[in-house]
Amino acid sequence: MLHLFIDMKPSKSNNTDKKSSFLAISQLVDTSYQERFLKRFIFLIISIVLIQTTYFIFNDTLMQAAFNCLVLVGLWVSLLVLKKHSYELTSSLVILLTLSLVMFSVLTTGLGNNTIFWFFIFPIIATFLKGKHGGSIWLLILVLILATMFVGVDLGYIQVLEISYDASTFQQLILSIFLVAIFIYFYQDSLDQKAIMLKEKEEKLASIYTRLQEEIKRREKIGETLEQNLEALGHKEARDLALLQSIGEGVIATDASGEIIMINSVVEKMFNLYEKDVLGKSYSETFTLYNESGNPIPPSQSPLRQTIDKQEPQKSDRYFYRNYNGQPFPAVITASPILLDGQHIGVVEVFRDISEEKAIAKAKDEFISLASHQLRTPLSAIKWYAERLLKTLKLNSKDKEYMQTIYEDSARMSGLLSDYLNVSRLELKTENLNIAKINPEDVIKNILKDLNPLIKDKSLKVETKMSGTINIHTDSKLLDMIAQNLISNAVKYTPENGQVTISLSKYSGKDSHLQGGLVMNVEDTGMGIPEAEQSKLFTKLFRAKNALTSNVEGTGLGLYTMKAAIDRLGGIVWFDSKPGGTSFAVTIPDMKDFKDVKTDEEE
Amino acid sequence: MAQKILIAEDNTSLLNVLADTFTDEGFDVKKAVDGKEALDIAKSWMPDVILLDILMPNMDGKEMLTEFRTVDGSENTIVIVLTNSGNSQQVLDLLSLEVSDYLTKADWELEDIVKKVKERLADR
Repeated sequence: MLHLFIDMKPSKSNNTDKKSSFLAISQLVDTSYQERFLKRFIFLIISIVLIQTTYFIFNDTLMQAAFNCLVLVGLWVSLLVLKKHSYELTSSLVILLTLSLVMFSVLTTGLGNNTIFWFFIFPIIATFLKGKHGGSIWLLILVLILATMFVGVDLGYIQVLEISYDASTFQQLILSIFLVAIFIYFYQDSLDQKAIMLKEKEEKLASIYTRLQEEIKRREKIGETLEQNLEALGHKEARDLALLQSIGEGVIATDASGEIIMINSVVEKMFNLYEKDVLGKSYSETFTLYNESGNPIPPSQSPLRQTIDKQEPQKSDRYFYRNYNGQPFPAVITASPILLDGQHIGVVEVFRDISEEKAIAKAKDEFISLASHQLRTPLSAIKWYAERLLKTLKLNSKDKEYMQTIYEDSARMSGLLSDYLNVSRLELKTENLNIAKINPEDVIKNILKDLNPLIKDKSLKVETKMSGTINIHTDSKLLDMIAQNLISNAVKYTPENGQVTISLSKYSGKDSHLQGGLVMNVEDTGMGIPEAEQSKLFTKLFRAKNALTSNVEGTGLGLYTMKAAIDRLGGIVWFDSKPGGTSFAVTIPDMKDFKDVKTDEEE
Repeated sequence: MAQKILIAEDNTSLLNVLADTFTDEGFDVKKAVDGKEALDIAKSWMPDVILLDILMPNMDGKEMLTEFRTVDGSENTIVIVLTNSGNSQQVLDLLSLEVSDYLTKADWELEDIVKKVKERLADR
């Protein structure tokens, strides 16, 4: 029977899901509901039993009072042991206790007015404690027990019992059972609804709980990944920072609008700034670049802004920054766009103070210049003495050859030194341009006069074509250098009976930005420049392979010097060469309104 | 009558070979090894031509010439600068002191220098 009692409790485990969470909640809700009810109910019963006991004491039925006291103790103990986890057992015990109380009352006092009370109370307690089915079944069991007792007494099986009853009590009993049945019926309904509501609530709660669990798991996962990412980022950031701080170059980073997002310690030191003070400020307002003459350049011209505008890396070594003392220093600046998924999100500028490099380069060139100059004087002496001796001494042919070699080699050395000097001067730009009005025809004539012996020697046909009278404002020394190189090369590298054509013409500037000037074209029928080597033509000390094997004297400085001179004058040179002839064309702009930057500075 | 030429050059090797060459060419030659000496000779002797070096002790070529050009009659003297140094600015400064030519020693042969001097004398 006990087994049945326990099972009678509508087991929630039937409608639980596989999810443990659902079960946990259903149990929790159920337990609290039953526990609360049980406690209140036991208190109610205790108070009723107390009243009954008092009644018994006043009526001198001490035996019953003592029994009631026992019941009270039992109830009190059940209340004490009523814990969350023992409610099932407690419920069953309470029901059993109540049942035995009913049975005991019936057996001891018969179906009197006193026992009716318990018939009324017991199913209600059972209903409250065991739910709708429990209540109904307990009612049924009670009726069955009573019926069995009646039948047993009627048939004489139970003879020891004296059950006294009267008709009114029986009617009351039927009525009470009927009322309890109605109560159970309605209570069942409300319980059903409560159960449905509870179930819905539970399901809702369960789904919320499940979602919460999932969300927690998801967040935990995100958290983990985030943490890992953060850690990786932290590592990367630390590494990048160390990298940026340890390189000896200034680093400035801006966003796409040119606002500073980072500067490294080199910049901080150079400009006596703190990164926190310049963050978010515009690059152009914080840093100013200056040109060679010490004037600030427009912000839009700075490599950083150019990079923002053009979205291409920029490099420049033309500008100067000024350090915190206001001291300008030349800087080589590299600005590169920062790309994120192909999007330009900013610029990083890296720059380096190149004062020392420039000073070293200058010292080197000055050394070359000085050394060449110091060498020139003794060389001139050797050359001149050899020249004199060749003329005045009556030498045999062998000695004359020796003397001739001394003379020629010293002359070549002088020429080489002059070339070196010219190169170093052009590279250093130590000299100002001296712009004067020049007739290039005269320049050509003078050069041809010097080259005349060689031209005659090789029976070359030299033609000079002029389109009208040309005057040009330029530096006569440099123009002479350019023409000298072009023409002497053509003469030197053209074989006997060949032809050299020099043509001079004017070109006019198309607009105000392009000035007019002179075009000089020199064509020869020489050996040509090998195609593979054409790109190296204007490099220092370059001599083409076919020139090296041709017995033509050359230093490898001529065209390099010429290119430097053309650059200095703002001209352009191009050439076309194939075996059998080379054609050079040079433009020299008219510099009528020219003002040398250096001259301005000196004034 | 032989043309008078003053050669001012601190390097005696160069000075001697130039002097000998011009003597051979029939010039009346006087030598000076520094700017001060050159100025003294030039003032008293009034040569037809001065071959003038720039870098010289005591007084450099430019100072000497500046001083000399203040003397009456000096405008008749042809001055040819013969140097191994110098830059464009120097050339410009000297041209204002009525220097007819500015020659680089290393690039010129004796023969051509003589030719140049004779040319200038003939043009005068």
